[in-house]
Amino acid sequence: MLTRFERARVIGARALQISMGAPPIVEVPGRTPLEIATNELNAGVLPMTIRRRLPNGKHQDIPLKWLIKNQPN
Amino acid sequence: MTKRQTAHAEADDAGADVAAAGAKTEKPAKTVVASKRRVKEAASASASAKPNAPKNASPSRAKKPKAAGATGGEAPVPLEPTPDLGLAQGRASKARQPDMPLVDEVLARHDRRLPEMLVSQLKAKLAPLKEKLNEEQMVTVVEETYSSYIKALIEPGEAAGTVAAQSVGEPGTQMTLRTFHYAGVRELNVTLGLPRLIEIVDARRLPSTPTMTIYLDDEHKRDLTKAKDIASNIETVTVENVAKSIGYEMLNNFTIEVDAEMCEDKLIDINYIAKSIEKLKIPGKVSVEGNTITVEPETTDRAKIKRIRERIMDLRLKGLKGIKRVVIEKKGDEYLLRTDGSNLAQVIENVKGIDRRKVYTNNISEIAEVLGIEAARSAIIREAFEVLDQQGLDVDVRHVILIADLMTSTGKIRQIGRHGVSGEKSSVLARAAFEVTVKHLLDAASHGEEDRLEGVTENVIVGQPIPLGTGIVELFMRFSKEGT
Repeated sequence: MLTRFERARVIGARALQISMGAPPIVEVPGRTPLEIATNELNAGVLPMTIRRRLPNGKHQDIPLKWLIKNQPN
Repeated sequence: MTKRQTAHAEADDAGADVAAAGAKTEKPAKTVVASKRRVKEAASASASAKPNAPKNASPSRAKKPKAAGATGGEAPVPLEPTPDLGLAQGRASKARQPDMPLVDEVLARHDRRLPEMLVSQLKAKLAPLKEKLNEEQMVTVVEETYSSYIKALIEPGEAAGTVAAQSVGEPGTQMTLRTFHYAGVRELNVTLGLPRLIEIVDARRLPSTPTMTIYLDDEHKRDLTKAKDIASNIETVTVENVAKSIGYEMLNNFTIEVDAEMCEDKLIDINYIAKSIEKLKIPGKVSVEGNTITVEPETTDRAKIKRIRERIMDLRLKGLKGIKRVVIEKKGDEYLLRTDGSNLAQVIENVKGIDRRKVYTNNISEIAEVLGIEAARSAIIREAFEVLDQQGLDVDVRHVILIADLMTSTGKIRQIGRHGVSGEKSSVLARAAFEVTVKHLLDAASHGEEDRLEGVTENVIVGQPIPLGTGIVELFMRFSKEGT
């Protein structure tokens, strides 16, 4: 599950890339970079990894794909 | 992935400090309520969906017990049943938990575990409905409970501390306008409202109106005379209290005329008074004649005699140190004692005929000393919540709990402020941002201190994204093995 902060961050980062000319990874509907980024995220194709840290300093890298899988809707 | 909850938000001022602790705090109280409602809705919905189900299949309308009332407090500090502070643990209720394999089975399908207390309450609620609900409906109820619990959890990255600070702070501003400093509980004065709240948060060693509530044991609680006996043993009686008048005789002696009625009332013998005075070991003579005690010190120095006289007047003949007055109160059909002044250690250790487990004092530092830090934490929560509650301010307990956790997390009580939480931050920049900037920076420089830039304030100063909300997310553009 993505937290709402992670979701916002991922979409924001990807939308920025698209707005600067990055090609969309898959053919997705959407007019604005934000829409495209959101659709890409929901399609589960973004090659991104989130690093989650614990208070004890340990961390774990989790591919976005995993997190998007069990998203409650 | 559930266990990988990220929680590294750190210090800002009092408020944001809480964030670190808060990020990993799961929230029981409200969830329980919320999910209960859910359960009820789901149950009645599914019940009415089935045509042959009895019309009144929805859960009984009977009053539901308070969420945690049944399980009691966690610490030796007695928690009166009224405020549900969400402190209860599942321990007590586990024994009575009905056997519901279906519930366990459904919950086991999910990757996050519900708190034991919630599970046992859910089981207790569902057990009587076994007949009325079919398996599918039962599963629906459990699923609903699970998902509303998950929804109520706080997300990593949330500024829980800031929210807590605001949630307590704003109602605080309302209090100033509406409160009077004192509210008379019978003859006793107890500080309430904002002054009391400040006192709690400042972690003052001595509250302005220390007071205890002492419950009596089974033998004594229904008998007024026995209650009075105990009260008179606790209440401090000084020589001054039983003296009718103090005479100034010649040069070097003075007399104390004892009020016989008073003595009888307090069960004190005049010879005992004289003996106690002798025990002070003041060089000189003490003699009793009728109702009069004559003290003849050896010295003739006026100032010294005056000092001796004061010492004698303040001499404690009976009772416990610090307990100025005891009032007997009737609550239901039992008597209990309320005191002006507090002495928890002595009361618990030495007073007979009381219910030790229920003794309560509003002196938090005393609780910390006698019963330990966990008890103090409960006391902070209870006291602060009661103040807010009394004012009719509806503050969620969990905010108060967070503050109490922050104050006690080091093992000793820290105040929220200069000499505690804000002043002991590990980050130089955060401390400098709080107060006496130059001094903190100079000291830090001369000690070669280092700032890890882990908190909110530091990063604001440096001009970086802060570790809160979206700023806490660490994102990599990376093709991992398992990922895309």
